[in-house]
Amino acid sequence: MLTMKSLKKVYRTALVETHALRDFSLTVKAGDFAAVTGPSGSGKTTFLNIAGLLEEHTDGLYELDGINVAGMNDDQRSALRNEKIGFIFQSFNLIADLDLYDNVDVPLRYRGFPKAERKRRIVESLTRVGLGSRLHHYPAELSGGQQQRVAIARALAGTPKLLLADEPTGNLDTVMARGVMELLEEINGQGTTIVMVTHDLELARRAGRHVHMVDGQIVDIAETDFARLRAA
Amino acid sequence: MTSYYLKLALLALRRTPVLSSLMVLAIALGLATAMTAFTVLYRMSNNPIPHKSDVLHAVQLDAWSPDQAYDRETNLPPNQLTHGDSRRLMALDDGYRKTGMWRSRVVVVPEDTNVRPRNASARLVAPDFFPMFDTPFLHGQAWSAEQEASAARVTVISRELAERVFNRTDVVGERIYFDNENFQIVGVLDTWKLSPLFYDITNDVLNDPEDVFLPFSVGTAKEMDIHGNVNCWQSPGEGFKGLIDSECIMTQFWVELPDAAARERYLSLLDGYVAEQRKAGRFARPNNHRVTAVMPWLEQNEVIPNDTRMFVGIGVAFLLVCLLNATGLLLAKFLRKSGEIGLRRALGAPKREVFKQHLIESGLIGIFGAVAGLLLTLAGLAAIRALMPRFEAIAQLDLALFAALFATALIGAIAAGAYPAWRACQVMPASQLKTH
Repeated sequence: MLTMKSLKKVYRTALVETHALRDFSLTVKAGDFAAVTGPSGSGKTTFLNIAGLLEEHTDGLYELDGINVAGMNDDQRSALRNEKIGFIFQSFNLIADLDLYDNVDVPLRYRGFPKAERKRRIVESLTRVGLGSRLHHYPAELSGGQQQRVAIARALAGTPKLLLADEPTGNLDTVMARGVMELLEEINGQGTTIVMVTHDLELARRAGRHVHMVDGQIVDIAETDFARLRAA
Repeated sequence: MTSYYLKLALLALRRTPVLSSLMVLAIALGLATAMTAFTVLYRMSNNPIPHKSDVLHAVQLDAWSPDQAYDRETNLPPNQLTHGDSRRLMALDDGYRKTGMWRSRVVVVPEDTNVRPRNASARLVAPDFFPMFDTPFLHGQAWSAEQEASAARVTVISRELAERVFNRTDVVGERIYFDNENFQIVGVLDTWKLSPLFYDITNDVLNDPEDVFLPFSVGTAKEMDIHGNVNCWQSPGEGFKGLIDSECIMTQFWVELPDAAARERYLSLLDGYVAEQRKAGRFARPNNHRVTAVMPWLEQNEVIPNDTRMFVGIGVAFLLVCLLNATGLLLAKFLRKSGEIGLRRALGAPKREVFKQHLIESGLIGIFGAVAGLLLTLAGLAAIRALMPRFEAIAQLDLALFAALFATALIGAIAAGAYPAWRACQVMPASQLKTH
């Protein structure tokens, strides 16, 4: 699903060169649930931005679902991002003026689906996260956990092959975080590949693979106990 | 996607009502100022008689002082004729419609003694005046050549005067008292306007046509006052007779020349006239007579005041300042929602779609601004009409001009929004998503 080989990302200013990723190689197979951890400044977010086609890498190879993304223009990257990737953010990133229906509709609009198809997908994905009865509520009327569920519904509505989650439980209390994590595991169980960046080692251990980064490099990749348990 | 972007634009306007109102107001104010100024300029530079402006010609003769030109800067001949030249040119049997004229004033004395006498503007003209200037007759017609020649006490009056004096318009055959003399009404003109009133540029070109038209010969016989410029290079003789037989210029003269050949023939005729007058000791200056069609005539006489042009310049400058202001406000508004833009980019919106979305939002503000600008323009023109009644005919919104200015405003507003929209689509999604 996701193949990175000897990937580099360098931020350059007139005075400073910052190596955010160095010789970064990672393969995530279809259906995997990978957690990426590391201290602040270790390059987790840079990795996620490159994986999500929000930034371009400086050097190396990146293939998403078998497609080499190097040299793609903005239109191509946007279309690929829209089709293959779903995003879940720490702060949910819902649009306050739009109701849940319209929030989930955003990526589908750019995909060019007809109205009926969009409606089917929106209702289906909001129902899947337990919010099917609140289509026309606004984000401010929901709890944090529910808002993150809406964000997950938005990410799922386009049936992406890869979900990229950036600290998806970072703004939630323990109970809500557990609920969101269980939802992600359920989604992964249904075949969607998930890559999750987190500070929370507890959560990381629940993923199938735990990738630990330091200074822009992977220092450890482990198959976790929870994954073994799930496999069993 | 356009309808979707329109929906988003309306949402965005509702989300920031104060900022949005400021932008709409900025565009509206700029537009209204420019449109008001343009309307006045456009009306003043309007062709007052489009279907005949090429055939009606002002006649100029140079019977000015042999010692110096009438206009030393341009060497143009005087813009009026002497009374005598007008009389003699009208008397020529050349086959063209023509009229000498001057503006005067009469006291209208109603038969009903309960109605107070009132002044009315009057113009002394030949009967050709009416077909030449396409005056719309409501009833009756012009007086005849015979009546002109015999200085018959006949008149053509305006609809307004007929209604004021008789409370009706069908008054042909009725008698009306001007300055205690009895005139027979032979025609009533419907309301008409020439904007600008080009046939007499020595008076206010924003005036309405006169209420009373009388035969040129009657004005001469009755020694009617001349309400306009009288310029002399040598002292006139005593009294009215002395004035009208002097070299003082005081009458306007127009001739209808249907084509270039007629124009040439008429100029030859003027050559002959001037040569003949020279034999009588007049026209000491070199030949400098000419005929000038309506639009060049207005231009030559600088009918549009410089103030008006300056007002337009200020209006356009103000519109630009307002559009720049709107650009600044739009930029602030768009950049304030960088988070949402970043999110849309992350969810698959290419830059061009983000650009389009924000351009539509700018365009919507432009439309609202243009509509508000139209209302303010109407208010501005109404204010001009109220404060300066002589601008009544000028300060009217012209639909074609409005359409052009509306389109300009829209393009201006979209142009004003283009840079902020471009900046919006340059937002790096990655940098916004952590903090949104």
